[in-house]
Amino acid sequence: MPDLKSTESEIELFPGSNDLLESVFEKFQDYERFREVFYESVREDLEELAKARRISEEEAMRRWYR
Amino acid sequence: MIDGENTLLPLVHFDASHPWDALWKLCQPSMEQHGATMLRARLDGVAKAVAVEHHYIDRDYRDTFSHYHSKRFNTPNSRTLRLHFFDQPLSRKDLLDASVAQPAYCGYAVIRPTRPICLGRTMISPTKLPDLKGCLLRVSREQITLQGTPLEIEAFPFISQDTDATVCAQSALWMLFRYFSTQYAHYHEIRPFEITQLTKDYSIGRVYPATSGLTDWQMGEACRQAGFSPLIYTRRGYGSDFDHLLYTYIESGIPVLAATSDHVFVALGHFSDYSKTLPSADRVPSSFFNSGFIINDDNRMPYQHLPSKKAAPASLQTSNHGVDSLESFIAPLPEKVFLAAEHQEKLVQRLLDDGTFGLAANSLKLSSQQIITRSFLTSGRSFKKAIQARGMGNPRVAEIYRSLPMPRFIWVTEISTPKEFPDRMCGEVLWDATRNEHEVDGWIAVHYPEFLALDVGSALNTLPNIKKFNLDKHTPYEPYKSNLECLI
Repeated sequence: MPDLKSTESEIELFPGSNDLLESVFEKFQDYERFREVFYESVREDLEELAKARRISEEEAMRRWYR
Repeated sequence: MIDGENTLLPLVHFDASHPWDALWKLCQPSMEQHGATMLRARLDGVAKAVAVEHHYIDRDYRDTFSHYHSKRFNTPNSRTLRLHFFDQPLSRKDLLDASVAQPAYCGYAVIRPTRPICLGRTMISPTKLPDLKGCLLRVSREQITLQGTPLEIEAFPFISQDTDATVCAQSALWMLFRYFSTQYAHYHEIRPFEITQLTKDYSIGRVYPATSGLTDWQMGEACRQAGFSPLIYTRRGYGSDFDHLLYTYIESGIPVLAATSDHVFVALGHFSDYSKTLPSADRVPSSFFNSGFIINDDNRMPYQHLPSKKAAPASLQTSNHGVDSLESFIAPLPEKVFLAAEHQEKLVQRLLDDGTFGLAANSLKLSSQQIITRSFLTSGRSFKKAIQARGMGNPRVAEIYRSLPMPRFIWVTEISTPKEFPDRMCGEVLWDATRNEHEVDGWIAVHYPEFLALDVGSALNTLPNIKKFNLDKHTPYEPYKSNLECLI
C-alpha cells in the first residue's frame, strides 16, 4: 500500500510552489492557539447574530403579504 | 399601420394614426386598463412594432386555468395573447428571418383573460430600456419561437397576480423560481398553481383562492420545498446591518424576496452613486454607494427603481415604496452555501484586523489609507474562469488561484482604495462558503498587494496548513463582474 499521507504532502500546487511558499506556523499547536484566540474574539459577535436570526425567524410568522 | 389586422398574427407599427390604443383594441377582450398602462409606460418610445400572437397557449396560465378557473361556473378563455415587442418597424417578412428579427427583439408579454390584472408571463430585455442605464441586475436566457422563427431573450421573469390562484406572495415566488429554472438546469420549472401547493402543509385553512396571502415563514418554506436553503432577515433583527446584507446578496447575483409591512416583490439588481463623499471610517463597504434596488413588483411593471427613501414617485418607472420601507427579506441560498453573509462579514473584518494575517501586519500600501470592501458570493468555478482575464495583480497569484482546489461556493471580499474603486481592486479574502460560522479558520486565501496567504492543507482536504508568499510587484486589477449584468 502506498503511504497516502506522505504522497499528499508532496503534492505541489504548481511546479516549484513548495519552494516558494513558506509556513506561517511552525507547529500545528501554534495554529490551534491562533484559531482559539480568533474564535474568542468573535464569540460575542456570533452570539449577537444568533439573536438577530431568532428575532427574524420569530417575526417571520407575523406579516402577511397579499 | 396594422398589417394583417384580422389574421392570427397582426403586426402593429406605431405611428400617428396607430398609437398604443390601436394595439389595445386588437387585444380585446383580454387587455384591461392596468396592464395596458404598465406595458405602455415600460415600452413607450422603445417598441416600434408589436406582433400580436393570438391563441397562444401559455403553460403558466393553463396551469391555473386547469386547477382553478375551469372549476368556476363562468370560465374565462383557456387561451391567451402573446405580444412580441420590437424596437425596429419590422415587416412581416422580417419576422421570418431570425437574423433580422433577433437584434430588434425586446421581449414578450402574455395577456391573460384574467381580472383585475391581465399581465401574465412577461420577459422584457432590460438592455433595451434607457431608464436602466448604469444599473446592475440578474437576467436569465430563454429561447422561444414566433411562428417558427427562433428568438432568444435575456430578461428577469415578471408576472402579475390574478388575485384568485395567486396574489403578490405567489407571484413573487413564481418570478424567483422561474428565474432560477430558466437560468440553471439544476432547478425545475414550477407553475403558479404548484406554488400554492408548496405551502399546503404549512397553512391554516384553504390555500386557494389565495386571498389571505402568505407570511415570510410560508414563503421561506416554499423556497425550501423548491430546493433552496432560504434565510429570513428582518430589519428589527439586524438593525443597521439590514440594508447592507440585502445589498450583499443582490451583489452576489442572488435575487431576494423583499417585503414591506404588507407587500412583497423580487429585488434583482441595484444602482449606485460612486460620486458620494466617503465617510471618515477606516473601512467603507461598497454598499455605502448604493442608491437603491431594481425590483419586479407584480402590481406594477418589470424593473422598477426602488429608491433609498420612500417618496412620491416621479414616474411609473419608480416604485411607490423605498428601501427604508422594507421590513424583511428572504435570501434563497443554494443548498451548499452554509455560511451566511452576516457571518462572513464579521469574520473577514476580524481577519483584516488580525495581528498575523491583517492589513497592518502585511500591507504597507493598504494599512496606510482608507479602504473600500466589496463582498459577494460566487461559485469557485466562475471565480476561476475570470482569473486569467483579471490577472489578479500578480501572475503568481493568478497561477496559485487557478491551481488551488476550491469549494462549490466561495465568499469573496475584494479590497480597494478610494483612488481605485470601483474600477480596480488591490486584493481580496476568499472564504469557503461551505463552512459554518464557528469554523473561524474557513478562509481559503488572503491577498494584499505585498502578501498572499493560503490554507493549502484545507484545500487538499487535510489538516489546515497555512502558507504565505511575499509578492514583489502588484498592479491593481479588474473587480469580479460575473454576478450581475451591467447595463451600459
